[in-house]
Amino acid sequence: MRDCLKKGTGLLTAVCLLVLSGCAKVISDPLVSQSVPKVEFSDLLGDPEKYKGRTVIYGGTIIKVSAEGSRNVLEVLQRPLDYYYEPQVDDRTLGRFLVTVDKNLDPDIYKKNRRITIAGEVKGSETGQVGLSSYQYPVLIHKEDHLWPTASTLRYGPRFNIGVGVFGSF
Amino acid sequence: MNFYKNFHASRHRIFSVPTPHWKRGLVGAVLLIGLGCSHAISPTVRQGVDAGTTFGQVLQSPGDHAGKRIIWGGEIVATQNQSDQVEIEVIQKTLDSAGEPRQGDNSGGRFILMQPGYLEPEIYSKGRRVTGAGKIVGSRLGAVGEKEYLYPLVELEELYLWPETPQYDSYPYYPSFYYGPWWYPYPNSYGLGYGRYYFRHRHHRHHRH
Repeated sequence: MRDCLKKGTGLLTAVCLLVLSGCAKVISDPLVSQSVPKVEFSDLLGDPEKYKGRTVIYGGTIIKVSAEGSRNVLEVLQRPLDYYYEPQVDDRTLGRFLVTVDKNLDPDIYKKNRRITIAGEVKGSETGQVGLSSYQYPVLIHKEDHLWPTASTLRYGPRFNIGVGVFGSF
Repeated sequence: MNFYKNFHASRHRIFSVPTPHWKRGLVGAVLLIGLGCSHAISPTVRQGVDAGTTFGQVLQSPGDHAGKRIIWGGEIVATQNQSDQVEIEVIQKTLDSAGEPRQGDNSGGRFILMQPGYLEPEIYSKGRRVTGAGKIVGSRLGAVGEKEYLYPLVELEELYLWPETPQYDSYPYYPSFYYGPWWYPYPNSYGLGYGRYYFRHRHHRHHRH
């Protein structure tokens, strides 16, 4: 009887862990804790140099990936992030930022309009151009990123979900 | 079973609380007023609009109509930031009573909206719909493909971007056939029935072509 209970507890724990892991954040814990206190993107835009060296987590949609010598530069349109650092795509954006990345980014994977969340270190700013207007980009040094899945990268077929919720709320 | 009984009983109680007639009337009135006012352009700007001027007339001879205030809308071709102002090239569409450009292929032609400052071209992107109010300031000779085109120029006083299906490359969770009311096979946080994404995007999906 006791064994049975023990087994039951074990199973319950496993189920709980599984359920919880479904909500895991996409950026690793050390970087998440380094990013506190949070630097708001609007503050960074105002004075990128002031936040040099700070760890930040931002996200949005990819505008462009370009190669500059051995490193890659990712241009991202900032979008608001939800609790899980997932970029919310509506018309809210505060502007653009650049990320310098040491690893190779395949432009066929890091495609325009893919949603991405990036943890990086503030490096400063760089002046570029959008159309004929000059644009001051905040620049981050890449530490971690998460590309969000698209319909085409998801497997089709039977899926299984466990969730907890209130009937009728969404 | 008891649960369901109680559920219905409590639900019934909630919905049968009598509402005073004047309150119902008030709600109705507010709704009506709200509907009547839902135009993309503010009433003050709408007041000075030259209602007799059609897009076709202006396209014929933009110079003759300089200074007139109009409300035009349509689909964005391109948004170009200049050093100190931004220009939006638009394919004209007729507007409905709320100032929303109608879907479809009938168009009177193209025009350019201008305003000082910067607009994000990734948001004001090709295919998005805008409605703008402003003054005709003249024309500019440009080209559509190889063909010369005389664009009417409008200096904006007000601009409205119509919301739309997200342009990012996904419906992130499930392919769209999951969203139908008849197909929602698994229990999850949204209850049985329509998925969250169905609700979020259903009004946009009708607009897709």
